[in-house]
Amino acid sequence: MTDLATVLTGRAWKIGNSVDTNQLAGGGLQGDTREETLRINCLRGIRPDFPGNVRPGDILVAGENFGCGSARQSAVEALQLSGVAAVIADSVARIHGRNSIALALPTYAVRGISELVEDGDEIQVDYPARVVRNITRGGELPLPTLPQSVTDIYREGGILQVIKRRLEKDGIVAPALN
Amino acid sequence: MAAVFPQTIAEKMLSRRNVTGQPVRAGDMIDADIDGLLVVMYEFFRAAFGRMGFPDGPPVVWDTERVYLLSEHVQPPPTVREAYANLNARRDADRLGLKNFVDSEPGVCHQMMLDYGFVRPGELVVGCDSHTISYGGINAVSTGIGTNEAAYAWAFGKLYFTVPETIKIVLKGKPKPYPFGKDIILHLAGRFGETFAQGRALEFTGPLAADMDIATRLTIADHAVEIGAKFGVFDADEKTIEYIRKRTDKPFEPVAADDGASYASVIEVDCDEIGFQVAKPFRFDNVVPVGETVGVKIDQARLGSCANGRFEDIEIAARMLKGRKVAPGVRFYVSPASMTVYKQCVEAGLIATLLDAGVQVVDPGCTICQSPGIVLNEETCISSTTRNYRGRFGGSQTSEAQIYLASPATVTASAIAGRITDPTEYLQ
Repeated sequence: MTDLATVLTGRAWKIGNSVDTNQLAGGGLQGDTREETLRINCLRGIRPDFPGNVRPGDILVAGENFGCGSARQSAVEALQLSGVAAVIADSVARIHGRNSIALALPTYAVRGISELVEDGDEIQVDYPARVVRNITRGGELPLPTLPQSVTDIYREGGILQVIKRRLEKDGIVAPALN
Repeated sequence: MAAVFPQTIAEKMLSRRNVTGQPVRAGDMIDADIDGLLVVMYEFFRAAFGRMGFPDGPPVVWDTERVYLLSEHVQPPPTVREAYANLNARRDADRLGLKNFVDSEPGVCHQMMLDYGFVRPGELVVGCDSHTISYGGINAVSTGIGTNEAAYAWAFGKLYFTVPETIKIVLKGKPKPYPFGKDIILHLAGRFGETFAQGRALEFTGPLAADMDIATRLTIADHAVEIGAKFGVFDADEKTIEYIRKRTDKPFEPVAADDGASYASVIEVDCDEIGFQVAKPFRFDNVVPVGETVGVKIDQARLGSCANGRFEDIEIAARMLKGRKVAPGVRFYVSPASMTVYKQCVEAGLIATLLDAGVQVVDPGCTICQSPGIVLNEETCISSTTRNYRGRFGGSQTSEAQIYLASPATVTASAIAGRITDPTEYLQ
């Protein structure tokens, strides 16, 4: 989880169009925990090298319609558990886009990103400057400005924090935190 | 507040529910009051509250009558973990006084929402499953969300929405004597691509939309998400009202577009020109006429799901299988979409016909759309379910398993022949 104000620099993993939530969190190999199962299967069907080689801070670059298919919040969790710091896609499927906001994984629709970036390039996601840069090859594309209702959720660290704060305002405080 | 400009269905619905009461148009971002929330896979939903510091489940619910909690996704529970999910749902529903809790019942949530009259025309409904969009078939404005957003809706009864642009799809042609919704939506996907409605609303209208039955409308609305849509809505007519009135006596107010509403585009489709369609692996828009896939040997066939698991879908399979057998070496799984549908099929004698033909009738539920019934990398399946992405029927180890999507008639004909087959001759 990262605040949008942080400038992220990382190695790009490039994947194609219409990578659906099954590829991100569709099960398969059994891990010892739910988290482990998510991590070891993430993108494994189309990039068998991903689960073993992805490093914290890496950035995923996807084509059109990223995250299409089932409404799986675990698809975002799988990326976070893999250490992915941000996602840039030519376009993002609606539910997955909302889930990425809800879990505060910076995810941007930037048309042309697949042409700007090759697999393994070092790229920089600079939301304060509204730009994504290819450090390896040069070139950049503008990042969209997100609506305030969305940046508020990122600033809180996800929608659960928003819910918790609002419940507290109504006098409902989590017992586990008392 | 009445709008001062003509509105699409999406604009009108979100204007009605806008928390500020102001009329909205495409592009506006608003908070809206929702009419209903579907929650499934309660284990994950409850865990969201656990992460907020509520280990015993949600402390509150915004409205005990407007939350629909269905323990249906994995029933009967095969593991202790899933049995506990049922137990926790039961306890929390009792503690919070939920009026609409369905306990441990096999089925596809979306069909159960319809069967139980939980969703009605002109309602704004969200649910934590992408095919929540299917209620557009009965003129509800509905869409899928994630688990944590559902937790927000559960607590506060509101959610943020971007008011979508709308594409109007005018359907023309004659109804057919077998379920043909799948062929229409596959045709649209093949022709325009699976992102053409991305983030937009679809309105399905025209003479054929009026002539088609509710089951066909539900198939098309269900698959609106496969072409990226946020909403996919049909008008309410006498058939809609009759369908709803058989299931609930709760009041409702249908929603219709105004004359002169502004559309991103209007597309006319002559459905008489559309034959049987097949989506090849591994995309919903990888569509060809069935003739181009005829002869592909299959190992498995599937019929069911929120897309095509209704009485009408199973009836055509039974009609085609009467006096015939499933091909040797083919596993044909048929799953009625709900216990209500299952009972209808039993009473009509359909299930006996299927069993005589060698069909494996499996419990209602969403598993018909995933695994068990794994399709291996060496195997091929043709299915009337919702999706054909890599590993859909077995996870990351089965990413080469070949999955084709088609209408119930095409799936059944293929199961009989053991190869992908044009169903025309079996329908005579």
